[in-house]
Amino acid sequence: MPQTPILQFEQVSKRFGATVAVDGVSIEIAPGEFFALLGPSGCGKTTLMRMAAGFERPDEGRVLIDGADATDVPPHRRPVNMMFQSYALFPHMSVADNIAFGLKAAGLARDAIGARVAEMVRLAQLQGLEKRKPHQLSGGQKQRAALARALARGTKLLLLDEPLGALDRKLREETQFELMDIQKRLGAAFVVVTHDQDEAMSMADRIAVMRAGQIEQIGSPVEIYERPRSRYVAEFIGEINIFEGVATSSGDALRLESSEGPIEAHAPLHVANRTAATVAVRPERMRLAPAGEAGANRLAGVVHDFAYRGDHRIFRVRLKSGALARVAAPSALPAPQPGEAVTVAFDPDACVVLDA
Amino acid sequence: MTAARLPRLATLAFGFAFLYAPIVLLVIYSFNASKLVTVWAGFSTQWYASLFSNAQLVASAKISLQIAAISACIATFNGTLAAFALERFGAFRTRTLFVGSIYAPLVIPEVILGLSLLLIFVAFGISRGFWTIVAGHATFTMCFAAVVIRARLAGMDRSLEEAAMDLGAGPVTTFLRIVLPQLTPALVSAWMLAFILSLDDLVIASFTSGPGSTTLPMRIYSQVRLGVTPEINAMSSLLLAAVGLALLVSSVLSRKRAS
Amino acid sequence: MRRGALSGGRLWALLVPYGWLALFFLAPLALVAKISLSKSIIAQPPYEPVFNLSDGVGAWLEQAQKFALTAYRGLGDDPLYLESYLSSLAIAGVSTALALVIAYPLALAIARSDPRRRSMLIALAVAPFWTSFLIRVYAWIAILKDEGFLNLALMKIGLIDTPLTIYATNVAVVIGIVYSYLPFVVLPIYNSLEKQDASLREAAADLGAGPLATFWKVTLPLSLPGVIAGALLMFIPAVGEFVIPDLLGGSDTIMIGRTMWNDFFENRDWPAASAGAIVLLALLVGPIVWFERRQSKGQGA
Repeated sequence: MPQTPILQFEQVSKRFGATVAVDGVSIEIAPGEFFALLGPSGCGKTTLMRMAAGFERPDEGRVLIDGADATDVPPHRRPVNMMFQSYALFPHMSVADNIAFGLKAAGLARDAIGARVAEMVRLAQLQGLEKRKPHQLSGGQKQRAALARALARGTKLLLLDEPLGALDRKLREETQFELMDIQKRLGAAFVVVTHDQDEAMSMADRIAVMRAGQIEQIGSPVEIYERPRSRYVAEFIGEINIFEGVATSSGDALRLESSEGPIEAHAPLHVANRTAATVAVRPERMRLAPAGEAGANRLAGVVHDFAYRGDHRIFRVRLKSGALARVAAPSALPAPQPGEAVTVAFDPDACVVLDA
Repeated sequence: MTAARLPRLATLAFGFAFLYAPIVLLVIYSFNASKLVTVWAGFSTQWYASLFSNAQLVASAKISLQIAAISACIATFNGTLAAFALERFGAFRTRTLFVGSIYAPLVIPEVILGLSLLLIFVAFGISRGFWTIVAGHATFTMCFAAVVIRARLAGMDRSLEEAAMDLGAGPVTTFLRIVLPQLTPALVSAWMLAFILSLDDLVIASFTSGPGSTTLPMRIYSQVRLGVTPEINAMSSLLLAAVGLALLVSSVLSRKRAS
Repeated sequence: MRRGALSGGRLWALLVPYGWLALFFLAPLALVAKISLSKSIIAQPPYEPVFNLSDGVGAWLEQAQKFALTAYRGLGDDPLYLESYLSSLAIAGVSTALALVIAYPLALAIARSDPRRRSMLIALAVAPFWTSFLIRVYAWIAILKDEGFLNLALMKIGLIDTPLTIYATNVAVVIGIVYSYLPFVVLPIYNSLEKQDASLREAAADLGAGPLATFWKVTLPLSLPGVIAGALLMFIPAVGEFVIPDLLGGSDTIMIGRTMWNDFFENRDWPAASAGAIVLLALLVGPIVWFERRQSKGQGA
């Protein structure tokens, strides 16, 4: 028997006036899992999280926490804690008082509170800042104080609303590792809401990609990246080249007659013969070959321009139809110059056949 | 920037001169030995002395302070509830009427408010006096209090309350430990505003007062109508000093809080 | 939030202030409207209660049905009231315009001052509001009188030989109103100016607009909400002003607040005063509703 999910959405829907924020979403999140809700702003991810915390009540469906129906449980009675996007640190309380707040509400003894606060201060590396007020903290310190406060009650399920959104780029990467480290150490389930695909990819065990209130795809970062199910997911996560055409399927091989030339891919079973199909290829799964190579998955083009990205370059290659393909090539290789004719080459393995 | 400096300073100088010259003149001439208000005849504090021996004036000042303190408390209480209703209760039936009743008294001429209050007290046979003035003052000052408190409430980060509830605090704890501490400066300024508006009001008090409840502004008004006297100047200077001191203290306090 | 349904605690929290306002603001206004319509009942000695609680609703309704528009007809016939309304609107209008002319540059000068000094300056500009209105008006008597400070000063520098008659004229009333209400006008204008992003002006300058063009095309239009709020905040109560025309105006200064006061306290003509109040309210209801909309929107509900 599988273990009880720590958090479960059952056909949950939420409307605000005429807009449907969340539309029939079902998700199960396992204890100790690091889960990311990923999508653009307005896709319903924050509403979904607020329903888990109890700040919004679903119009339909149920929210279960650790197997128990929590749909009608008010926020302060839920065994769930949240780290707010704005951090929501109480401005009139010191860092220590902020961390102690949830413990006092739980009615812990003074000694126990003191010990727990000290533990949290260590965990979040806030030593020496206990007496400071929130406005005396840097952005990173605020973030860690908010995290410490949310974790102080020892919750098994922490919700994090854009936890790194307010940090600058360098600090963000560092903090990603810190968050993952803390999560592994505490063994609590973390549910992160983010619009940043890199953040989701690097931290989460599983990602749910949301679009217009619905789940587009749930899977591990590798699945989401390597096997996106829809064009939406493929395009939302990273850069990708899309080819459309008419497919013929024979055995497990699929041949797409695209306007750039024939493309061969490993076909999923459900693609019917002579139907329109879409194939996606990641830039880093392509390479630039000398002009004149011919055959399947060999597309003739002319280098349009390229952008230097440190370890690699992104080339934009004008293909036969006029479309621009993006190809990543290691910077160590000699770079063809704009105007040079090349062949864009890739393996059938690199091709993903999309649903839509 | 430097080119615009001179006109800017001139504007400031003119503006503040206009605002403060009458007040400064009034204070200076309260120390005038002469009974003639605009002719300086040497320094004297005799008018302050005669002020305190004016039993009527002192009695009226006492009444005014009592009315202001009581009505400010009622106004702050009602204003706080009204601010929450406006800011946090969402839509309810007759909300428009409620909003209107909060904002209209801010601008409606006092003569209308006073007159309507007088009529209702007469209509119900309520004899006018101390408590009818308190009611009248509490009514129009609660609207000012509601606006001040509402502004603070609107500027408050809702996620703080959510965070408190998320951390296990019930509605009462959340209100007492999160909302109230942040609202306190607004409550204090709302109370002060209500207190000063009440202390200063002549029109509504005139309509709602009865025998034995003559407020300070009513007393001053009846004397002012008879002409400018150094005694009134002295009285005014004392009031100005009191208000000035209160403003100074509150601004020092709020600066301390900010740092 | 479900519309119309409030939980227990919230219901009480609403009912207390709502009840207070109903009792001391809405009911009195309704009564004024009623009395203005029923002359025959009121024309008795003023302290006679109009309604007795023991009369019951039936008697009230009966009285309310005796609509006699005498009081209003009286208003129309009485040139004093018509003149009062017109001259009140004129005096309040002129005063408001003048106050804007003084307040805008002042607010602008404060908003463009050193940020460290700004809050102190605006506090200083608003501070007179906290001091007694009556005393501030009173202070002007000594300035504007024939032998007052202004005339003394003007004669000393030789600008005039004989004293100007300002006190007890409409000019004195306008000066008094402008002075008394100035803080109400400065504050909202300052708030809207202070909120303006300085980079907007820099962008205008960068696009070739001179300081004047920048002011007319960027600064002023963006501060209009503050200007309108300030003007309303002053104009509406100024129309019904009583203290200032009474203390600074002459016998020929006619303003509606004063006319009503006299009808009430001296002529004891309550229906006329009530009808006067209702008409005044009707005149101001447009601006008041506008003000209220702006306020509630501005606060963000």
